[in-house]
Amino acid sequence: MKAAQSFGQYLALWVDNEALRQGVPEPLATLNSAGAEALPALIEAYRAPKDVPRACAADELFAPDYGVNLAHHDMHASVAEAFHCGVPNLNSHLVVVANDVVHVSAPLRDEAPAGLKVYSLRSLPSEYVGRAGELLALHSADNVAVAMNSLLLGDGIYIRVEPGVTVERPVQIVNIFHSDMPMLSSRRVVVDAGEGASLRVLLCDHSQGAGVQHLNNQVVQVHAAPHASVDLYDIEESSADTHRLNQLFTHQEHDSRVVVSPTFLHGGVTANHYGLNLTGDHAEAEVTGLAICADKQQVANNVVLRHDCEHSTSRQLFKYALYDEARGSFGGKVVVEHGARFTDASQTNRNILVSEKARMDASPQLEIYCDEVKASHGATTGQLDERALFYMQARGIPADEAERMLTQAFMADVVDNIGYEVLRQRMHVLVEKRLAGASASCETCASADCSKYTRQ
Amino acid sequence: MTDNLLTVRNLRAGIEGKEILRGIDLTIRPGEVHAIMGPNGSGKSTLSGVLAGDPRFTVTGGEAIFHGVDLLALSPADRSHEGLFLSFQYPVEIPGVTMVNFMRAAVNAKRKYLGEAPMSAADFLKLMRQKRAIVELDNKLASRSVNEGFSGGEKKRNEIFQMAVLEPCLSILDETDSGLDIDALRIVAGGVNKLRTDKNATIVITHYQRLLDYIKPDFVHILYKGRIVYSGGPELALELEEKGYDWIKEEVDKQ
Repeated sequence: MKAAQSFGQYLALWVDNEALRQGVPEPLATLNSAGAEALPALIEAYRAPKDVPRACAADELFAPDYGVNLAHHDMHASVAEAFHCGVPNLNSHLVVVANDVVHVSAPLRDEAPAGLKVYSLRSLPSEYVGRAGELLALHSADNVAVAMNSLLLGDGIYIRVEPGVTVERPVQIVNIFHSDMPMLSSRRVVVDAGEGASLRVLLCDHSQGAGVQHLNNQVVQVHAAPHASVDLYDIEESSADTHRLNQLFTHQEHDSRVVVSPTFLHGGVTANHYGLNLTGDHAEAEVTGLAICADKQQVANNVVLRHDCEHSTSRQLFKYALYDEARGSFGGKVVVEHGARFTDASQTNRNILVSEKARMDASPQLEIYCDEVKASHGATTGQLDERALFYMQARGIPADEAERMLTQAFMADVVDNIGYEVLRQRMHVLVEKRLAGASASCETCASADCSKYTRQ
Repeated sequence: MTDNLLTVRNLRAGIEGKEILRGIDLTIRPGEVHAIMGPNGSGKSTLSGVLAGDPRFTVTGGEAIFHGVDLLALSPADRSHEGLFLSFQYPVEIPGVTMVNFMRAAVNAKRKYLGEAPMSAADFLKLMRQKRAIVELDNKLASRSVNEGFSGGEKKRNEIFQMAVLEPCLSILDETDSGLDIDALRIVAGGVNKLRTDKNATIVITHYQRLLDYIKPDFVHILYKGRIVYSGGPELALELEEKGYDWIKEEVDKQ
């Protein structure tokens, strides 16, 4: 019943306002229709997942009556134009998404390095419409939230790296929510890395102004051709009124490498789903995430990692620190298909409950249909090491600072996994500041002193 | 009396409802070295833990006055700031916290307590270099996580290094000789002796006379069943080495 109401209200809105949706270009028009076609059956079949906190379930997330930008007005272009990422030495290729409107920065539009193309899906050159459409069609209706994204998507980002091209500076996508009224933003990113191409993508989620409810329903697709390498860093720092449903899907051909690294620093309710598919021999995937959750924040990370080739490797590492009444959940499923010989898969989830009222649910799962594999998984949830806390206090370090240092140390290996040095240093500082109680805002990030995290 | 560094009166403490210290009296003046010896389970480590504020132990009675301050009312960190130092029998490994960050946090926490500004990076590195030399601690250990992967000897030298940095007025060395070979023992004891002045004092907790060959005590106390049952001069340690603890046990158990 709830699902019919939650999702149905938006489908009805879309159907009833055909006049508003005139002139939607391809490949978006086809995607919208695919979502519309699939939704009734998906809504009918929807069952709330049992292994994530109730607030993180799609029907709960879509339940409020959010405003939708069906006519695709660019209401907050000034926000995008004014945005400047102050992180020194980051030198990113910048794209700003103001609510659901994509603004590719002028330097990236006009002077992108050879072999890198970044386009808004609304203004895709004709030679890319077919390719982008094919990729979008792969994820038009995986589940009800993906279908909702397909239905309501007014714009998105298509990133193409030509074969053999290594893009040195990261492509940075800054998602900003800015609105006076509650809003649902549908966002999509398609990364299309050609054979032997190499790219880093940095996603930053922010919200401006507190007190206005927002749902970010995002779908990210990563397509890695043979020998391609894609690193995707995802930092969420938004207001407590921001809810996010983020689904990432990867397709990896042989000898490709994909690293996904989500960091939750602040937000309201977040549900991340990672569907990773290793379909080419010798493919490698890494998912390493951390979440620092306080107040009543709820964060669910759910990974389904499918090995369907030989000699592929995957590594998952998720760490949570939970304060106050925060709730976290981690579901990690590794599937090793028939014939996926010599798979090497590991999965680790470690959590610290700092307060007695915090709660963590972990469900690591292995599904193995092949004999010649190496697979391991482990999940632990506990408190900080009391002997270490006392040792530090005995040396004069006050209890709260000792706790902070231990929590930061606990998170350090996840941060160290970030391959892009400028970002790694920045992230160490952001984690430190977050643990010290500061809001890890855009401003904090830009002004942070990273000298102590510079590798000697 | 006012120039006593530490006055412990009728101190009682236990763990999980079991009483271990059953009335300790101890007076320590500046410049003195006290050895506390005793058989296993007599309460030696409980005494050091209680004085340092180890939360595993519950104080059930008595008092400890540390240069005029009610020691037992202070947090473990403030006890350190007031000048108490415990060299751990089993130094704790802290993965992910480097020695240099650990020491910087400790030094600056004390400076903050004393109302001083944080130490500059250059001064801090100089201090580390000077103090490392006292116990011949390898520079490489500074960038490693606290005690992680340190050998037994390195861990104990690291304790004395920290003591040198924090310049306590009362140091408690809890079984500092355990797990040390003779060379490491000499370096550790040498470090302790270099740090001795007529203003500070040391409590050496040990099983064996061996350490006392290097760190000469002024007083030797024997702890048994949670009480100091015998106090004497350095000769008492030699007597124990020769005769063992049995004669003490017999004498006490007779009463």
